[in-house]
Amino acid sequence: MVDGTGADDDVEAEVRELLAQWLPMAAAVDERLAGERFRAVAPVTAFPAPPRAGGPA
Amino acid sequence: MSGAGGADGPVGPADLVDVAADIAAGRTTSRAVVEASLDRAREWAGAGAFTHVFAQDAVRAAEGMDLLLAAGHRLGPLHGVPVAVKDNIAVAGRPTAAGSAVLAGEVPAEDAPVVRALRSAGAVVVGHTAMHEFAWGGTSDNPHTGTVRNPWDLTRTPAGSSGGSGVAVAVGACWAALGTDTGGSIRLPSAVNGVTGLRPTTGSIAVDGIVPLAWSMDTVGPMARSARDCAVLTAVLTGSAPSARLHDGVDGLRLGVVDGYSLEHVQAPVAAGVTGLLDALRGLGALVRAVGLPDVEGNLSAQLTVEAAEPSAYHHRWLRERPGDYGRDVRVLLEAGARLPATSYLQAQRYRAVLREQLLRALEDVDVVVTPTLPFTATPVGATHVEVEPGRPEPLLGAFMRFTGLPSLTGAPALSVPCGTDADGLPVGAQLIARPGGEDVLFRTAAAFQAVTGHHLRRPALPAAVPVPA
Repeated sequence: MVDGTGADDDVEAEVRELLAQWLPMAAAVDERLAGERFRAVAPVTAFPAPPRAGGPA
Repeated sequence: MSGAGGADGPVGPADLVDVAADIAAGRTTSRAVVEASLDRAREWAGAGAFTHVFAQDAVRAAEGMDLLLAAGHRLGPLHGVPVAVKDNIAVAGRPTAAGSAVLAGEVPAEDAPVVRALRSAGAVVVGHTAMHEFAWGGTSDNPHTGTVRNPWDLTRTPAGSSGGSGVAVAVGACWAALGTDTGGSIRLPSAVNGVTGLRPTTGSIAVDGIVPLAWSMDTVGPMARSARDCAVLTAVLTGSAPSARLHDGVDGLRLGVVDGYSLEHVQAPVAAGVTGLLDALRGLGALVRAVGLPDVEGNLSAQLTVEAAEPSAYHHRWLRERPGDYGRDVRVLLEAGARLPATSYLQAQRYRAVLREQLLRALEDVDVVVTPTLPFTATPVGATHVEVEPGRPEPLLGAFMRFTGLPSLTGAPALSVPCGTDADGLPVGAQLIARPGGEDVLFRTAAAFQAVTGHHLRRPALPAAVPVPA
């Protein structure tokens, strides 16, 4: 058991390999957001439902 | 063994709209149509499209629809038409397990609202379709319910996670199916199986009664044979009036091709299919121009981050208590998602706000943004990597989502439309993207294309031997 998540030796290597792929990819996102020096871009949580196209049936 | 690769045109009605009209006019009966679909489901059983077929209930329901019609009552535009729904969508009294062992034995007491809407419009639900476990994956290769196979070549994947829905529509085991789409799970199987599928505007169709994957991106939508089918189904699912401008054509419509993105890093037959779609629409009067999305390349990282972190939260307790009940691939994804830093998740969600601003700005200059649905045609069953460019294998999961992440992250609607084939007859799909709430312009664009082309009419031919499911 690792990190309390339930991972064990059986899948640990694959989990680490996946994280090794994913984490460096986030650099593009970090770089873009680092440019927003005077704006606190809020995280998306959910998008509001838009008005229905065509209106009610 | 190779599957079909045939290019059979339709015999009889071309799409759901046609068959519904035939039933309404008395040219056929719901029972005949439903039984024909059940026959297709049996013939193609080896493709693994269904987890459960509700044959007896479906025939009984069809008989009821015929009686109602004979008495002068047509429930709605789907009256008597067989449809299927993905196994993560609640159907009252039917096991709904999201392709998992964790939820095996779950039997909802009530239909999901989307199923209620289909039934209220007269649809006959013929079965639950197979899927990638918990919708977390792109192949529909499922250790609990079996491997779903692409009907155009049974050695290939139908993509996913709504792979069973795509196959069921493609082989005629139903006239439409519901899928769910978080990172591409309606659009990807629509593209590789040669059907038309809509990821609706996020939040526009209720996802209650559906097992979630990543709640900030989850949607449910239709997969069918044509854009006009999807328009009818979307009106039913949203409770809205059908599009009034479906057949207005595309004269003067502005189509955007994203600089350095839409046609970059794609296999040649995919580029040819999308270019063919643009040429056909230009020939109908549409204007094609370049648009910029300067930060689009971050979309894959953000997509993977959000799509990994949110499911790991939903599954957190089960993952600790019964990890052995998950298939290996999904377990690895969930374990990895549980270890992403909180800042990565927040950065990805912040990036979404920026990307949405950029897409909405681009959609002030054009009406529809066009990309491929995915950069390649169906990969072999079991493949974990794909070579979009020869000699450069890349992980399949990320490669699947190169283009589908843009609408998923921004909440915009996107329609996958068949637009060509590769040298082996495997379908290619184009993705059309509009402003949130802009489904009508997607249907109108695709309907114009489908009125002058036949890609959406191709059907796979039944191979000599379809493997018997284990």
